[in-house]
Amino acid sequence: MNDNRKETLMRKIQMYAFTAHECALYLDCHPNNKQALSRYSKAIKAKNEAVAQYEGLYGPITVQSAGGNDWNWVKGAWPWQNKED
Amino acid sequence: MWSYEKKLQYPVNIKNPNPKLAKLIITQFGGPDGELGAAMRYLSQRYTMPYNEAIGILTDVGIEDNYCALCEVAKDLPLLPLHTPPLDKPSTAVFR
Repeated sequence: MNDNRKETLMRKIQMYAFTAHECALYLDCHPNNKQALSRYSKAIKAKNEAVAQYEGLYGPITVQSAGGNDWNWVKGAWPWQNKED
Repeated sequence: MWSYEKKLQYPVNIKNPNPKLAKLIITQFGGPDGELGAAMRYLSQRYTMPYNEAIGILTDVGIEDNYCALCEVAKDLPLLPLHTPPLDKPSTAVFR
């Protein structure tokens, strides 16, 4: 059942990150659009919260979050390895 | 400078491997008209852009969309995917 939570959290991260990125692309050419700015801020905030949750449980998403008792960056599956580990 | 995130842009769950589709996808990746080449061009063209907005868009499109395509494709090849090719992602419309 742990796997379900991992997938759910990851999906949240993917969703918010994608939203934020799409807003960013729009904002690059419309830098003063308030609605887009607000949407971007909300998405980034939600993404960061989900990332913090995920990393606390399942390890680093960026190498900057790696470390601790061992070098967990190279442990566990990489995104293209799926469930094969 | 940029950093790598240990995640896919969206979840991929291959149930029925499709070699023909995998072959199609990889043709979009490399070569003169491929995504990778496009990414390199965008990232190089940034440096001579006269407008900041243009620098921004070339940066963001060059990095995320093409490197995500890279990861998606690199992931899919050994697993022979059956799923929507990166071509259909809204962001790739920018490159055409």
